[in-house]
Amino acid sequence: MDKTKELLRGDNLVVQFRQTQGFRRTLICPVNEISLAVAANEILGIVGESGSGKTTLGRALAGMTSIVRGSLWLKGQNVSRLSRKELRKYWSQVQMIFQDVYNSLNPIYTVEQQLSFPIQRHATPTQSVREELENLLQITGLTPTAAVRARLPHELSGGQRQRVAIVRALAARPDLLIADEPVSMLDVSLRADILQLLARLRNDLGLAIVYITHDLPSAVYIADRILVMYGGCLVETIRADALIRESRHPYTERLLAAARFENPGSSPFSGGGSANSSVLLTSYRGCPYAPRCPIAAQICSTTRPSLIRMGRDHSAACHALSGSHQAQSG
Amino acid sequence: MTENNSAILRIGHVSVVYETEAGLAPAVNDVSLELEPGRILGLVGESGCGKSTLAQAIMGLLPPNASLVEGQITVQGRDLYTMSEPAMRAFRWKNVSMVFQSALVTLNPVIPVGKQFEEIFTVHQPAMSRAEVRRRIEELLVLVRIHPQHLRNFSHELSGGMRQRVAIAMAIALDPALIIMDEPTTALDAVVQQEILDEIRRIQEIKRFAVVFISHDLRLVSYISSEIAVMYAGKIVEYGPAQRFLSEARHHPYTQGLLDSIPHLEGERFTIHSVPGSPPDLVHLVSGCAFHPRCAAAHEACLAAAPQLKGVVDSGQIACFDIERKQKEEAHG
Repeated sequence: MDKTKELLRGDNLVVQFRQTQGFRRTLICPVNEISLAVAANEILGIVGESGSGKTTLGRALAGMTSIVRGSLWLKGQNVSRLSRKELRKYWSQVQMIFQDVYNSLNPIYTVEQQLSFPIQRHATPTQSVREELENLLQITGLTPTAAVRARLPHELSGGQRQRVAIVRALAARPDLLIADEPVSMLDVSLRADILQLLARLRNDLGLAIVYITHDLPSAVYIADRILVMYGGCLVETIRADALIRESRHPYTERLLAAARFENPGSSPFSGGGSANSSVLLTSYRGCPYAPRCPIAAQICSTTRPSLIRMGRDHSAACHALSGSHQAQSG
Repeated sequence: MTENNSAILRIGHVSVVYETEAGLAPAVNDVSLELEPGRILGLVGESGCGKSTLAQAIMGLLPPNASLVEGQITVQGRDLYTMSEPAMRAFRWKNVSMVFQSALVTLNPVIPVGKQFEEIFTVHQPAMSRAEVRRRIEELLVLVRIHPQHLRNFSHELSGGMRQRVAIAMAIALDPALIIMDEPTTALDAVVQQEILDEIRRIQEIKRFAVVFISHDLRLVSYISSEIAVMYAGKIVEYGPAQRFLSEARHHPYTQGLLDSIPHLEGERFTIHSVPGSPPDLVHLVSGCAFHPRCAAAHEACLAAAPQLKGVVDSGQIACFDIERKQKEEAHG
């Protein structure tokens, strides 16, 4: 990536949570030494399943969850640890939207009431709040605007509610929008509209977008680059247009197979264990995907593989891709 | 069965109407369907198309503001709506059971999973001994590949996929002839989703129950079903064997839209299209074909009258004037 266009960069980000299981207290690590960068005007897809840490990573990037180690940089400024006041400034540049729009809109305010406050807060003196609202409703396809303004959240369709949430995020005129599963709760038939809206906002407003999802095809569709996460770790990063042909990590392969509805033969997963949460424990030292990986060797459950450069904008973390796998498994 | 076919579920000209603040909303409008034993019927459409209402009507579980205003539903030849309340309760779960979208909602959060499982047997088969119940539950869990140790867990301690497996085990506990599955995999990740679908297919092949599988995702539905009915604004607009929906057959414009909204590979990229426009407002339904405001092929006839389901050349039924016309033109050379 071009260094001059770099908007947000995270170096070795770590987020940890305390967890109580019965009487035992454990420490889990949903974001484990993750480094990433988002360029201005870029759409970065973060793909992973429930429990992969993708949402926690998104929240960390949005300044909503604090990082215990590593550093976060916005336009060259260190934003790893911000005071409340500094956070407010940060949020005028980085905004987040969520999967469950119904719970993130106030049910007793109309669309206009809902949106006037954030617009007023960030408005430039030259433009009236009404004009700016009108403008944003137009951009996001919330038409006819006069009718939409007066509606309450429950009177909107799921797609319209997500658009209102997008308008609210845009009111701050951010440089970066972090969208966490913005279409998962919508009907399949309506998802493309919202994805196309996000792509258009990137073009028209010069916005950068981090698109977080468990749905690999939609990320390939909309993103420029994709990070694949599993068990709190980055397992592969690749350009979206190269993913289908060149991705190498076994988990990315599994996601692709599920997207094509191919059955990869004997299912590696019997549904018995919650393998997911134990690989998140800080005490676990192996590759997070090892318990489910069809080609796991001995080394995989004891040593975490590091990211290996596979080509331009492409790295993957898998022992099978370095020499160490064959030597041990043979 | 007195009639020549052995359908396990018969839905005859069923209409369900909701009373809402805005007015009456016909959620299901003159729907007729039949399902043979051991078959899987996929019911697909967007939110508000009436698919879940139809499922609730089959279970006799319509909300208080909805009523079955017309038609008849029979399961194994018996009409739920003529039964007494206790008879209906005994019939439900034993003969027809249900799996919901979120097992987190259906499972009681403060009772261990095993206890809830036992209740099914204490209510429906009180003669069974504790040891028998225990053995039966373990058998069922093995069938859905959950280790019996998880019976002690509370529902929030299980992963989404495991909860849905438990819900399936509960649904098949009394060997019902019919199971209604309402969006059973919608809340799950892509990989787990496919695993659960494979699980349902595998168990269904062993137990041979019939399934009504409801989803907004035509891709899932065509993966698992033997027959598919596409619903729009309370009506079935296309019906046919599942293979029809995987092939290049002629489809209702709405079905075609749903098919196009499935991510498909185009060169190096996945492409996704939307069905244009927004879902219908049931309280203020348009005249004629309810889909015409969103349809590129709509012409005057579509505004004047609602098309009926008609057989198409390759074994299916479609309710669309445009397709009727095309078929006629082709028939006349």
